[in-house]
Amino acid sequence: MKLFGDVATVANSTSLEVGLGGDARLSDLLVALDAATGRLVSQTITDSDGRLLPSIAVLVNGSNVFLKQGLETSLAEGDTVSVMPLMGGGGQ
Amino acid sequence: MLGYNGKILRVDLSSGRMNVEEYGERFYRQYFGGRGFNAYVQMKEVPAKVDPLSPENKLTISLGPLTGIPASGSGRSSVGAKNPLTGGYGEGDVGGFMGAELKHAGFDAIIVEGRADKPVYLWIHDGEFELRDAAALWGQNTLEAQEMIRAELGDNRIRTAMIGPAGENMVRYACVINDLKHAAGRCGMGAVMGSKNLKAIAVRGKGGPELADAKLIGEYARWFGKNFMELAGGMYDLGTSGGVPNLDATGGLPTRNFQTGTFEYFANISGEGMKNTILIDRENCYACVLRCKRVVKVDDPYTVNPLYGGPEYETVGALGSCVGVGDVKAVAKANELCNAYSLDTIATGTVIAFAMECYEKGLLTKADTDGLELRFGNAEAMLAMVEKIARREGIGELMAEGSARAAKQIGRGAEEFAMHVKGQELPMHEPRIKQGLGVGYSVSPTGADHVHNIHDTTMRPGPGMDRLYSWGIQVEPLAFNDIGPEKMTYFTHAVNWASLQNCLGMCIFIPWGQDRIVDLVKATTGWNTNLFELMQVGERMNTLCRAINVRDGFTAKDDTLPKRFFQQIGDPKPTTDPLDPKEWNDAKQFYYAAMGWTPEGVPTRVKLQALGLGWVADELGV
Repeated sequence: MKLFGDVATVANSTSLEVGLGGDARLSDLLVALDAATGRLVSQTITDSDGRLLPSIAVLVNGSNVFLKQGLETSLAEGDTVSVMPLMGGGGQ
Repeated sequence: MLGYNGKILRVDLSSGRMNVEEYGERFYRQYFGGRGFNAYVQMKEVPAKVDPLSPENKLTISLGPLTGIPASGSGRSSVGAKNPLTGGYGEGDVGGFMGAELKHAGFDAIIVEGRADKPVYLWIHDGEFELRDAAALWGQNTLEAQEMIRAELGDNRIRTAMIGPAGENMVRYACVINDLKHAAGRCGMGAVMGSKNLKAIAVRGKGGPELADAKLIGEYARWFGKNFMELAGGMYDLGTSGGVPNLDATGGLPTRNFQTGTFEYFANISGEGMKNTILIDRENCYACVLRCKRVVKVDDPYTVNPLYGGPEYETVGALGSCVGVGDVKAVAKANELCNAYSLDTIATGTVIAFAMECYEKGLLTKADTDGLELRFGNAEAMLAMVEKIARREGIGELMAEGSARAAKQIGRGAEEFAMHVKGQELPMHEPRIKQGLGVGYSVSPTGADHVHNIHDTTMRPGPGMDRLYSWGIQVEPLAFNDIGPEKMTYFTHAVNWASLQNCLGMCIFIPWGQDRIVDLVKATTGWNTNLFELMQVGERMNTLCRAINVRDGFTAKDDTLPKRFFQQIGDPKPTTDPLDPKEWNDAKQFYYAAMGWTPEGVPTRVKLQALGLGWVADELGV
């Protein structure tokens, strides 16, 4: 995973590898991310109802998951997941 | 004085007289630059209720202290004048290289007044200045005009602030284009320039003021250069339209004149869609490592010249989803035309969307549209409209006046389809998801604006909340549709902070954080400043802009929002919610009171005095 901006600050890491079981989805990765870092990183990515925040872009191999299946997007071994905050003034 | 040149150039186009004025350090510390200089001139020198397109209006090109320092984000400058769309305070802020060049040419601002009796351009180089004949340039697109100026003066590194035919024709939302692709877009500054017969300002400078602590600025610049991918990598990779898929998913992508917030072709016009198709390069502004600007090339079915840059988010929204056009090549063509003619892409798209809704609802027919099938999604009709507006041909004559004036003339309920506040068209952010931003549209001194505003969706747990805590607001992240006292307290401070950025000449996309901004101002000016003083600069300028509007006759009744946003959106999502009229009104009143204004939105004498603006209280008679 590649983490950017304040998500990286909360995770105290900009790059980490997370191991997941088979048939994993993005939502599984977010749970594993909290466990791997020992921090509530997923809180900066989803709202209290568990929806992806509009101000965070989650890219799987460079493609926004909103172009895929959102939190249900399937992940395969070796996928690169980037989590980047979007900034004010432009599109967010 | 450090960080500033201490010189402001005044140009009277009516007489041809030009002189350099020195205002002294106290003036600079009070008004700082950018918006501060614009607002000072509009209050002090321009009479109330003046016609913005008359010679009595004054156009200011204003730099901030941070404009031109060797660190990312310092490419910003501000163009000011009474606003042809609203009649009140007007300002267009812009990146690129022109501001830094002017700083290095020896000036902090230019004040242009009067009207030339024939087209001219202003040539400034290393402290020297002259007005030159622009007869041959008049009528030319920006690219041709820039090439002619560079050839005439024999220097290919000359920077230009310029208008194309739309500015010459005084389209009310014509913009000023710097170097073909950086737009001082909002508030019709290009129309004001056109009204003065001023085609361009050409600048070359190799000097510039001494900085108090160039070493520290260099350290900060290197820190951002080293870390920008981690801090803001999305802006480099996908540009400002990287968030289009997010907006679509949450119902916040203005579509078909804000009737809905999701667009079936959103992927085509997103940053990723652009990257996979027409993007050929990324570009930066002065001294910036982030490179959020797009460069696109299209050969078929349109030709789009990469010299005109590429569309950013507001443009893919306004000339894409808002007009129902999902072809990124057509959006890129429209962007190129707007830059060639000097049109604000936001207003141009929003006006065309207005015209399309009028057409679809039967208020305009083919007899009115010169035969155009003006339906949402018709890219050819959209491109034809850009041409017609720039040249004021056929239906373009009416639409060049902006949606508010056009709606009045069309009548029969057309006002409901005009998405504007105070006459200025809405940018591409949906108030039914970002409700604090909706209040911000209403109370902005320039009419609807997204930059000196908040974006509710950016509130999330983590260090981003530190700014709120430091402003005394100890809360969990608030819902997007919350416009209660805590959100509006945040709003008040955040808008003052954003107002400060327009005074400093610093880009909001560079995540310096408050402390580093304070350090950069200290290292530039040598002043022993602090966050308190800088926040007060932002507040002072917000209040001064408000006072200008009050003097022009604006009241709380003008702080409106189109009726549409108090109604359910066409495609409701869990994240979208109509504004509640009472909550919205309470939020407005909270903001006025927090700013020290009366329930009518009028700054009080005490507040003005406390901000060092006692002279403005006398001017207003409060």
